[in-house]
Amino acid sequence: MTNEQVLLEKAKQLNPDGLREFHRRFYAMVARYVQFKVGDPRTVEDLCGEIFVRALEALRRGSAWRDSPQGWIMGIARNVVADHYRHRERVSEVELDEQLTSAEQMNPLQQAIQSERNRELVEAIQQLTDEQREVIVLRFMEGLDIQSVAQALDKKPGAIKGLQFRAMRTLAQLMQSRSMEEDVI
Amino acid sequence: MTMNNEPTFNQADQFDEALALLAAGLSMAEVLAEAGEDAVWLRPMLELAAEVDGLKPALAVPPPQPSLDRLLAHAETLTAPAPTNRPQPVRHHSAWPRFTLSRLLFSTGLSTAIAVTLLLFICGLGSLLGGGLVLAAEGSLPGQALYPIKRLSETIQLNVAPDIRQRQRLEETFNQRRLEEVDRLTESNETASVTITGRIEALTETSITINGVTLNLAPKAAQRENLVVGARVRIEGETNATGELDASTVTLLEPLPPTPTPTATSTPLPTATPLPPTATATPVGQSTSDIIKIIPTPLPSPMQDNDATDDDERDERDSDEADDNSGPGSNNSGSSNDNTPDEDNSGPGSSNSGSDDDSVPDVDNSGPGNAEDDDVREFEITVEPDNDNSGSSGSGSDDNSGSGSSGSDDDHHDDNSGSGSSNSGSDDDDDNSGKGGGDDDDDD
Repeated sequence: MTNEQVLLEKAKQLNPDGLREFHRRFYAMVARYVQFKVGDPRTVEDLCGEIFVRALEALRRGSAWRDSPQGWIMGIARNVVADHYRHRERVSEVELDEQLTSAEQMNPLQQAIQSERNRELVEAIQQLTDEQREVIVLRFMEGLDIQSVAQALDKKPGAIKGLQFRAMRTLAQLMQSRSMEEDVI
Repeated sequence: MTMNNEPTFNQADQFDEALALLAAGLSMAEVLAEAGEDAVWLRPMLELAAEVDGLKPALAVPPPQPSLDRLLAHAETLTAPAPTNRPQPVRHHSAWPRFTLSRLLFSTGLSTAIAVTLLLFICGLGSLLGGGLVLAAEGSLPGQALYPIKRLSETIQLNVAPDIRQRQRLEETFNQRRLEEVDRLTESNETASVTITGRIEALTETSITINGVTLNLAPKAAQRENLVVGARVRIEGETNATGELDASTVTLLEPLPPTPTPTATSTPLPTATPLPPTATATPVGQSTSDIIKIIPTPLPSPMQDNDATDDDERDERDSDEADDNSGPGSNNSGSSNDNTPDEDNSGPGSSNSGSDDDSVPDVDNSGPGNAEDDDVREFEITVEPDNDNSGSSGSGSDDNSGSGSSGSDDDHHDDNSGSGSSNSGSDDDDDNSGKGGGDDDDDD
């Protein structure tokens, strides 16, 4: 068994130390992902709690990960966030993006980022489609491999490869057009 | 840039291959050199990928403690039951109570809308039937076919009362009806099981008076000395064939009123009905949950409802009753659930307290049976003479209004457990024209 499998097994047995380690191991990744999808920090907290509770439930049912623990828990995170938006009777994806980018004051991401360049990058990521953004965050920020991202997004690895290409290409275009605007100014 | 609008599989694969090489430790220059002329479109994407990777430390996340606390708390709840299963919702041993009207009404999510709908439906049905079903049910007694409709109508009115005052008025009105039902039952010498909650108004050697109703009480009843005038009790009893009420169980809920009641009506002076010396001499028990079981011994004493002040109070309630039908509104606090016979009658799994469950025939099914003398009926009275309705109605049988037993189950769709059987890895590579060997190895 890998270290992660041992860790998940301990958590499944409800060993408190195992649960803490399980949480410590995945929390930052989960929280960053949720933060990219949800603006409000309180909601991020709530959803993170829900994600770990559901992960534990899934562990207890014995229906946990197949290939990668990261891919597994990020898949749960994705479902929880999707449920969150479903419950809020979410409007279309485009409107969501607009809301996120226009309401910078409620977006902790922008606040947290000091460098102008990084802020632009985050804004550009948030202009991507939902799937593209997920791939960018999971694949390039969290460093998950193709298989894990495929598991998290419930897609085939080939689809992830295409998605990551399109996402990064769009992102490059967005950043390029931004720098061109700045040049003009 | 020299990009096509749609990525070819080659491009997507090349990009992934380049990422794998970077992850394997090659420098950007080496990777771009390897790519040849594709470096033109690869370079901005690879640089941007590195930049996104560098973004991670700049992103502060909320503190982990709330999430961890919640996880540990949840684990705590899982340690109590068997380790392999999640706690199952409590099930009734009969399937029926799950579907009764009252459970539907009181399940937390459904209350008001359904209550209003039902009220409209029942009223509509009633008027369609000519006389008005609800109106027809008004005069019914426990055990009669229409009695459940009467109680349901009352429950709905309570549930849609616009504010707490209106609700209290209605509760008083309905409690008054219960008392009248007792009177009518005792007059007609029929047997019914009764539960009354309230403060003791009078106590004699052979009787106990509560809410203006006097019940026979065996003089040698166990622990009788804990009963004093003013103590709040729940009495379970039965009307007997001679038209009297026999107390079978007296449960002490609260030894004495917490504050002296301003009106003299609620606690008649002991002089009106002399107390047995034991009752006054013994200090009041401190426990609020003493249960005093009293063996039922029917005594031939007549009803003693001759307290003048008590009659006044009844008159007040009567005047209230005149406007009890004015305007159901919307309030669904549902604290009076235990007043509904529907719940009690709905099957063996209901929450009836008391020992007489097994002697209770299904009231709904009793059809023409109101002529049967030994048809034991059952209902409950809760009256707080001093208007202290706060939480009193919950003191009796524990209503299980939905009670959230299913908890957080609603969202457990597939949690992405295993993410399907499709991504076994080899299925896509045939699209990719050979290049991609160890493309997935760029994990940290």
